[in-house]
This record gives sequence, structure tokens and C-alpha cells, in this order.
Amino acid sequence: CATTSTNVATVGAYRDSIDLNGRLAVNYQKDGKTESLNGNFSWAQRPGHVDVELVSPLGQTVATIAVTPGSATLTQAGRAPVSATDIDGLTQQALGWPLPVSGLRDWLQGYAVDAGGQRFSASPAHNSVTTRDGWRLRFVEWQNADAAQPAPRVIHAERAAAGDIQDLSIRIVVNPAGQG
Amino acid sequence: SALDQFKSFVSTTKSAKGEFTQQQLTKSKTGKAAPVSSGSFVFARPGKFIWTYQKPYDQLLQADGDQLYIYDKDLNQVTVRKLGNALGSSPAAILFGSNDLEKNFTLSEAGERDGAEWLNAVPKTKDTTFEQIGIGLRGGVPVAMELKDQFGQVSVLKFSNFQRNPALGAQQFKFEVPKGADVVKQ
Repeated sequence: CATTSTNVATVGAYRDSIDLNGRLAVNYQKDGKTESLNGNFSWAQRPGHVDVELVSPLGQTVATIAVTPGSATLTQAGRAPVSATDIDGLTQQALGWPLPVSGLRDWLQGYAVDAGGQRFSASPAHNSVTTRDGWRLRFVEWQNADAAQPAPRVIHAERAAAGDIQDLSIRIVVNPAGQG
Repeated sequence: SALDQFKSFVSTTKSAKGEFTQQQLTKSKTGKAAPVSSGSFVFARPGKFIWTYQKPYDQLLQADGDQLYIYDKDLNQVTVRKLGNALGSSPAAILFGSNDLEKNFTLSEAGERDGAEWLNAVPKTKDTTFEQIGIGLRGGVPVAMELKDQFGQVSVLKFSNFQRNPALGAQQFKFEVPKGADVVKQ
């Protein structure tokens, strides 16, 4: 159940270098059928570089993604790496759903760019926003909802179908730091 | 030999239960060694099992012989999909699946190590995330498994308190959707 806390303290300052681990569930429509992917992820972010690993529930690496400002490379188990300038398009083409890496860079730390182009920083009391590119975000749970600088624990990101982009919902749980 | 132990295990073990620990051997990109996850399992051939992660978080993989359920407490979601060949050439197929393992895997002896006789299983189909699976047996039961994926990442499972053919309730593998969890049927 989402804690409807009244804590108005917003998330800590954005960090360029951060290592996060967690689990995600991606639900999307493909040829009219519901598809769902469950897995774990590891997120290693440095200035100008993000390394993402998608791992199956039993611990096998399914795909690795490396993103730099100029290019993105995705390597799936048993397949040659595929590169493109835009990561969202690359994951859509290779995985069948767009992993919004650029969005996640902000969301995982409780930030977003709202519909008006303003910087949004979440707090337990003010925990939902619609982003400029049409994602409805809800910061459902926090590592510690009453902290002076709360950090997101459970994030729901939904995007309604528009044009050729289909219904997509991503649920993310960020493991507490140190729990890998 | 490992193969003899394994064949006798498969033919004489209709069901089993026990505990497991799991750890990623190779360090992930973040350089930190992955934590050990642990939990319990119970299975009945063919295709019925409950694989429960208790630590570091609650996650459940359950098959009732027909459907595969994946439930993650924090994500508050149950994913349901036809079992069909979802087991295919996964470690679950080795322990819990049907008996004709040679159909999906090429088996070979891998000698003795850490007090167990090891069997090597290479999936015949290429569309699996596994490159190779090692099974360590002692006293006729699996004591460990080493799962190597296509990226060379190795995940080690260790089994303890392995009880063969325990008494299981008729509803043992019936899945109950936890209250309030969203269900996504694939």
C-alpha cells in the first residue's frame, strides 16, 4: 500500500555518479497481446556514461546496455551487440519495449521534467507528475518516507498508447543501497 | 559417477523440498560482489514447483503443472504465463521438469570437486539465456548448481536440508493471488 505521507521534504541533490540495483516488471502490448517481463537490473552511472544490466529472476544476464551522450549499445544474450544513437529506439527495436534510460536517469533519483518543461523533484507528499514526453510517474514508496532527503523505493511509470507507441507500464523497486 | 547419481535421482525422486542460497560469482558492473539471496523450494515432477526467495527480498516463482506464476511483493504484481516450455532448458527443468533430460541437454561427466561429483549440462536449444549448467551431486541428491549465462556470468546455487519424496498436500502447488496484488496474464 502506498504510504500517503505528508513529508514535504524533497529528494537529495541529483548525483552524476550512482550505483543502484533493483527489480523491474515491464508490461506492454504487442500485436494485441499483453507481454510482461520480470527481472532484476543493475544501474552503474558515471558522468556521461550509464551501464545497465537486465538479469532474469534466476540470475542470468538477459541484456546489457551501455549509454553515452553520443551512442547506445545493447547486447542481448547470445547475440551480437547492436548500436544506435538513441537508446529508447534501440530497446524498442531489440526488446520490443522502450527502456526509457534517459528518463530513468532522473526518475531513479526522484527527479523528472514536467509537462511544462520544469524540473520536478518528488517528495512523499507530492509524489506524482506527468513528464514532458508523456510518462505518468508515481513515486509509490520510499526507502524511508520520513527522511530529510527521501530516496525513491518503488516507482510506477505508465505511458498511454499514442501513435505507434503502445500502452506501457514499468514498475521499479530500488534495493536499499548496499543490498546489491 | 555423476550421471548414475543423477539418473537415480531423477527416477527415484518424485518430489522434494529444501533450502537454497544463490550468489552471482562474477562481480557486476558496479564492482561490488552481489549479495547472497536465499530461500526455500518444493517440487513435484513433472512441472510443479515453488521457488521462494526470502532474502534479500520476497519473490516467488511457482508452477502448478499448467501455469507459471512470478510474484514480487514489492512490485505487487503477479505475472501469469503458460508453463508450456517456459521451463524448457532452465535449471528448474533439470530439478523439477520431466525425466527425459537428454532431450533438452547434452550431459557429460565433469569429475569430482568440493566433495561432489559434477555433471555438465549444455542446452541443445540456442534460445536460452544459459550457456552451461553444472550440477554437483552427493549421496544421490543435488547439492549445488552452477549456472553460466551467455555473458560468462556465473550464478551458484547451494542446496541444503534436501528432503526427498516428502508428504505434500493435494493443494501444495495451487497458487493464491496475494490480496491487492495486480495480475498480468501473458
